[in-house]
Amino acid sequence: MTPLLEFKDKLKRFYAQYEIFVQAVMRFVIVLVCMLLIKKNIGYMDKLQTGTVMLAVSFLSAFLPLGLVILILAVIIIANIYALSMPLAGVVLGILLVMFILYYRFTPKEAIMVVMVPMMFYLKIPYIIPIVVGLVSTPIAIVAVAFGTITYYMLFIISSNAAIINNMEADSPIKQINYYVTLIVENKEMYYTIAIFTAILLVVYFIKRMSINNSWTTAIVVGGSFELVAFILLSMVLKSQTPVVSIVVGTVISVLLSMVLQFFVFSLDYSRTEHTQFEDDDYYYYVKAVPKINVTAPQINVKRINAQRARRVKEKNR
Amino acid sequence: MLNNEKIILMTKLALYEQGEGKKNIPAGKYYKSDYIGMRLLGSFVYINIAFIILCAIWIVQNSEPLLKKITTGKVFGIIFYVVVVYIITVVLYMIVSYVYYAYKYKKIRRSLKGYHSNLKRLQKIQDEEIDNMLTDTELNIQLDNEKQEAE
Repeated sequence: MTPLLEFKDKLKRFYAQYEIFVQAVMRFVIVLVCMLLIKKNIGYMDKLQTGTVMLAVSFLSAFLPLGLVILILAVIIIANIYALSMPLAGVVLGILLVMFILYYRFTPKEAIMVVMVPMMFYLKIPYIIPIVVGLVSTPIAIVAVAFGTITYYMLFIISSNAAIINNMEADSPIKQINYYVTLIVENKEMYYTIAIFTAILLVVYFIKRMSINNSWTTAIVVGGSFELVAFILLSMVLKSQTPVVSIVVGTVISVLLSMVLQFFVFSLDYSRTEHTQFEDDDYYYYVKAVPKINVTAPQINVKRINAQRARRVKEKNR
Repeated sequence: MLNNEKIILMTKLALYEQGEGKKNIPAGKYYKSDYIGMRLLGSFVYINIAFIILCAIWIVQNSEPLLKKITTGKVFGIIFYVVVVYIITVVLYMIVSYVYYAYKYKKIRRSLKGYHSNLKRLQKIQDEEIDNMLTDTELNIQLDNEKQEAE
């Protein structure tokens, strides 16, 4: 354990020093993976799928604010759908807008779920979502997860019915929308998945907050095992084509990844070194504010007021 | 001369002004009712857009049964249904918005409290500095006078 902890400490110092670069590289990689997944699954607009465009978008995203990156990715997704069918692109755009108005307007940071949830689904590890969100967020984030799941199914339905939609081109756009929306609204798998995610998120959240040893790890393991059972049952009930092996492997990977994230990311306070400048009457100040790093664990003393009072009463009675 | 305490305070203030404070300081200048009222107005516009989008999708989705109902003269039933759903949606959304913005305003005010107390402390230090400077000059004048007298 000690080398791991030392590594963690080194990582923290490294991050404090090179925060800007680390973030840029991470964003670049995430956006590039997103672009590759888009190309593989719904890459209908050939112009957007060339290596140059993909690299350029990823490179730009490394330096843009998060909100703008999400917007760019959303535009790329809609442009791809537009190349397949204009009415469907309109529907997807409309639903994304409604999601933004209903929820993400209030919590702009969670808008990343619109991108991350479908990404995890395509990487075959959607099981990680409720665990991680349960660990780092509050139960309200269920809405964000649900909206992300709906986004995934909207895209998945398009990619799995692309041929039929393509053939319907001659028909009226109303028929296309009708066909598509029916597929979304009557998608039982989607509803069940959202329900399972909600339950797991709550379980993870409440276990995490319990005052037991290793509550985070316990939450991950319990959440993961519940998820495994729930999704195997779901695939049996719906007779879906997801093989049990992929569910098992996916959950195991999700649990392991969550643990890695918990150890290296969530349990650390990556406070940042900040640069600022200001002036008073006499000087200009260029300040680099470096946060103090606490290596020792804080000592906690628990005073039990009720228990003590009870004892005192007893002594008086004697 | 550099004053460490002052620099620390100024750094904290500058970091707040450039980070969280960028939105909080202007927002804190409004009365609570004005702040929430303005946000609710925005919310109202947004929920109308959302409702129109969902309504459009619903109409396209159910175009056939809707057309049938319209031809059989049940237009008012449909309109009534839409209006009821509209009112419920808007009221619910406005309540959620109100609760959210009231909470946010409270949070902004709380974070501004710390900022203002730091500002006051900085002002105090500045005043003390000026006082010291004055006494220094007074002292110098006194010394000069004594020198002249001695001469």
